[in-house]
Amino acid sequence: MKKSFDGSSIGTSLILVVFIIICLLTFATLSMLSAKADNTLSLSASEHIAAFYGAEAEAQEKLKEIDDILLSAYQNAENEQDYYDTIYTKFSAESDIKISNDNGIFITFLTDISEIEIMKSQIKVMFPTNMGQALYEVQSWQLVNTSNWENNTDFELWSGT
Amino acid sequence: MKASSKSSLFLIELIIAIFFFLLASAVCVQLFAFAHLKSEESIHRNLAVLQAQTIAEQFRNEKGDVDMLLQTATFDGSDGVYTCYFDTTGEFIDIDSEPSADEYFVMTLVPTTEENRLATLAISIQPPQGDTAIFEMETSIYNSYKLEEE
Repeated sequence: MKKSFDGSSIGTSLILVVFIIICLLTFATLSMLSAKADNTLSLSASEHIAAFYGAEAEAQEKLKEIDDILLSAYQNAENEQDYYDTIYTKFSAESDIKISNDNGIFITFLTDISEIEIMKSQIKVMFPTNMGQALYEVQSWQLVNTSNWENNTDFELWSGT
Repeated sequence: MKASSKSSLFLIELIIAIFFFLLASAVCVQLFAFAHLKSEESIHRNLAVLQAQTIAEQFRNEKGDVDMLLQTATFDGSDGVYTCYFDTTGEFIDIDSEPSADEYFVMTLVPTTEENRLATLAISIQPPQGDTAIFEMETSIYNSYKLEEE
């Protein structure tokens, strides 16, 4: 009753092992690539957030400098018109600050966040007359994308006919 | 004699198969371990960013008032450097409860105030068992001059 070894199973185990190895390597590689992509995304997001808050801090510092100038002008101004004239003259000379006089004096300054994003801040200069009033009013404080939009017209879309 | 050579051939094949299987397993274990570490790093960084942002927004909401901010969690320290701890779920924990070193993040806050107007907060977060910060940021809030302060 002793079974003889006929050798028909030779090669089967090797094929099975090769198949298992291919499966294992595929899953391991996919897992590694997925984790790496997640990590890159997380790093990129954290860098962007840090850059955003950094730019925000820089803009707040610039705001302080502007407010100091406004206060100095306010304290030395003889009247409201003199105050506005002083402000306009003072900020017109600044290269990184844009000033406009259209229904009030508006000061705009930009802060870089990344190569394609800036923070645009605009304040309206005020002449405080009552207690608790500030020397400016924030009009806008926004992120602006500076990258150029390029239309991709390479696709041949179905025109309906 | 023929059966014996076939069985030894089968044995050799098995040995080769096991050898390659071990080799591939070693590579796979390394790949899985690398993936696990990277994944853990991402999870830690995401949590650190979330916590830092929460603290930064609270700081800005309190107009740079550090005393109000320090009431949100159990902070240690003085002389302008404050430390607090939170676990892997983001819950602030008391370090006196002696949690395991791989269970908590260390958040360090360094607030500064310029002329009592421009308040800045530097936030740094270390992951569990980490020596270097996984996330660092700085936020500022400026409180404008008001007329009654003249």
